[in-house]
Amino acid sequence: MKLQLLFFLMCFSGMMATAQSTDKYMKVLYRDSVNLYFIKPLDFKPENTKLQLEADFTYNDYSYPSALDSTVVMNFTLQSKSPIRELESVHLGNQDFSTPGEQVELFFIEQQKGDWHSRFSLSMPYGQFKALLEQGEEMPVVIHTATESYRFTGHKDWAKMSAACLSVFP
Amino acid sequence: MKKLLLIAAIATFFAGCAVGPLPGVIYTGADYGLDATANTVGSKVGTAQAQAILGIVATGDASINTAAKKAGISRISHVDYKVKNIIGVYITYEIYVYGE
Repeated sequence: MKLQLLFFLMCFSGMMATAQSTDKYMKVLYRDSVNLYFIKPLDFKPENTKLQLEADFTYNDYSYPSALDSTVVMNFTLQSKSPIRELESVHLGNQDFSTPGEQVELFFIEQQKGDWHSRFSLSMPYGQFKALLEQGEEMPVVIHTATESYRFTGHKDWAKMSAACLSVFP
Repeated sequence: MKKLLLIAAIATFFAGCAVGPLPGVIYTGADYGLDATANTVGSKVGTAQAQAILGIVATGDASINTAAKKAGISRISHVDYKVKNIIGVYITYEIYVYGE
């Protein structure tokens, strides 16, 4: 019986190991000579706040092989106790990549189970995004509103996702 | 061991309706196509997720509307979904909406 259980566990762990591929972090779609990479939603670790930040990224590789001309869209949700309608700026990474608030689009705000979910979108050059991927799990995100600054870091999942992306991206 | 198998069998039974067209009794991790429209394939992707535990408790929102809304999609080109099922104990259902 112990041997059967061991065999079962070995088979199961083998399957789980197979699942640890780029598929865990991204979906890839080829369309009209463009590669579309969708990086699945990731949670960021709050540093000085109780807000929650979740973000996904969509990279359309329009100009392969000179992909540095392409842009990446970051869609993110801020979960908070009060609605956040406007941002002053969003800073990504250690190189002070900053997006002013007027370039951050608000998709919607809704309330779920007492929390407010504010959904925003911004875009950045592919070169900037690639630099963020190379920063490892400490990749900082700082979001400024008119009255507060919220700081988050990338967590271990960011580092794992980055490694997966860098192995695939041009 | 018998208890473990019994729990797995019950969980699989209760979770059976949520594992998609290719159910794996021990593990499922597969992508499927759900729908397509006449719109050209867009540059935006949105996702939404729901999950179930032991086939008893299910939470989340894996609707096409939510996934499209999260990516600012107004013209949908196609919809895919992914199901993960671990012995019927933990199941996730992820939907991916593509469009412009």
